[in-house]
Amino acid sequence: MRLSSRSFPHPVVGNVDDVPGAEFQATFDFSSDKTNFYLAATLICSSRTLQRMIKKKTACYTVHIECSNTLFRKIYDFDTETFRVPIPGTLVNDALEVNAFVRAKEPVEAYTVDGSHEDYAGVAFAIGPGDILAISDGQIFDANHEVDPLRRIGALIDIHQMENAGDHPMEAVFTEPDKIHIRLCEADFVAYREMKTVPHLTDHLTTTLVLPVLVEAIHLLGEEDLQEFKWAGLLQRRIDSLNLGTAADALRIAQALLNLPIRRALASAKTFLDRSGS
Amino acid sequence: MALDLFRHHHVRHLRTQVPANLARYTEKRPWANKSSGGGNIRLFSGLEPEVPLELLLPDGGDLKDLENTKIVHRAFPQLTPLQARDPRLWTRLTHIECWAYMRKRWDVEKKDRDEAWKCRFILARYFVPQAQSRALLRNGMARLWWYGHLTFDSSRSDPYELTAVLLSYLDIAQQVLERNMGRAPQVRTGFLDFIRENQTRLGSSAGQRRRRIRDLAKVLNLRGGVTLLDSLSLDEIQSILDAEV
Repeated sequence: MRLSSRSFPHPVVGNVDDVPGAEFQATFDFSSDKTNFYLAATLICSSRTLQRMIKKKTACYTVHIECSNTLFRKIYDFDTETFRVPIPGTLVNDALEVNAFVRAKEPVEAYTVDGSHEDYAGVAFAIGPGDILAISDGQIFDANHEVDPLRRIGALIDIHQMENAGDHPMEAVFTEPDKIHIRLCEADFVAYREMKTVPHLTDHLTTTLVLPVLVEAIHLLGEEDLQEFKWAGLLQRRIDSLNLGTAADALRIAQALLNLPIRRALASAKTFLDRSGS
Repeated sequence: MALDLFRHHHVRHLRTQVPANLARYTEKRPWANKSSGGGNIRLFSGLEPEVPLELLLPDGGDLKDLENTKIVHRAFPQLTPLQARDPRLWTRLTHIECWAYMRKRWDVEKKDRDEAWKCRFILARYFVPQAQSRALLRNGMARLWWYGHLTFDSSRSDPYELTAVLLSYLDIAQQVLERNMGRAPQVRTGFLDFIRENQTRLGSSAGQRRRRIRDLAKVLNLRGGVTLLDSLSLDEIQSILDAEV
């Protein structure tokens, strides 16, 4: 469900300045185990009108979850401020869009809400079941079926051999829908396959192959409209989750995403040297 | 017999080679089961069709979409949505097992268009080029399974009753399923049931009915801007539509 600032026919708590005297806030926590994803939510609504309606069960909290990748769409109703819902892993994949509301459960013939904008003074509205009474900022979560955090960048980048023979420099392809592709010529790919099985070398592969491509991808995010590419959405959301602020440059962001790969590469090289020396 | 899927690298290869392979999409026999570089392209899936995937070939204006939707849905009743969005499955079926059907139903030769259009057509109908659901609903095979999955109702005497409504005009599938609201089960069921029960009220000609159905979809979509349609009962959805006809 795409939500933007809307002009509702009635005042809605949380929608622009419809009700300056009240707030509706939602905080979510997303987790998973082998079979399910879990969405835990805390919804706080300061509107006394809505609190009364929820208590009388003429309104309720509703969380709306949608996954465009698997056509999953479902609502969950609650009359408590905190709750947790399981979402079977077989039903969702990739971006999960979550929105929280307070909605009417019963018709109200003359609805008014405490603290509404003065433009609504003296006006009452007819409300029907399902009508939105409060709205919060939505969030997007990754229903990623990769659970290993180190493999999470692997969900964005695929390394494989070039189809054309000969000796060619590494190529990065950003025009595939699901992942960024790193293409290596045959000789480099053979070397890569050997090295990735050696623990002391995997960090070096990350800095050599993945880091520069990730930096380039982050630059592209800022310059191009890449909405149709799944990797771009995933990457942007992971960057957002780092909370690095707007001043962070692409190199810093990429290092944060890869969990300081240069430091890890240097540390594993040092360990290798120490062991060789001893 | 369990199905083999294409491996990711083969799907990727076929997709990038569409312009070079354009002429092959007019061949009578499937050709995509050979690896370009000699590597393994088959991935054992354990998926076994419960009925043979013997699709009916379109016959003139009779596209056989309903019949084939039932066949594909009955073949894979246990497929999860997570599995059913996998391009490896649908690319394999469009290129190998169901090639004859695809050639007839989604014949690239049929329309006199330029090569760029033909490439786009093949990408949309023979592949799942994007992660969004719209791509699934355009793939020649995936759409059949998803139509069945989204409308099958075991509580009805004909569990595919709503599938028949959905496919009675191609426009309905587009109006309902390609809009976000169509993903809400109550909205989908309410809308299709309303069309089923009110055929005569929607107009006497196909053109009238198509326009009315589009208008109804718009009304519901607009209402969704104010009301959480997902929370409404079937009766409430139908009342909204009833007021518009």
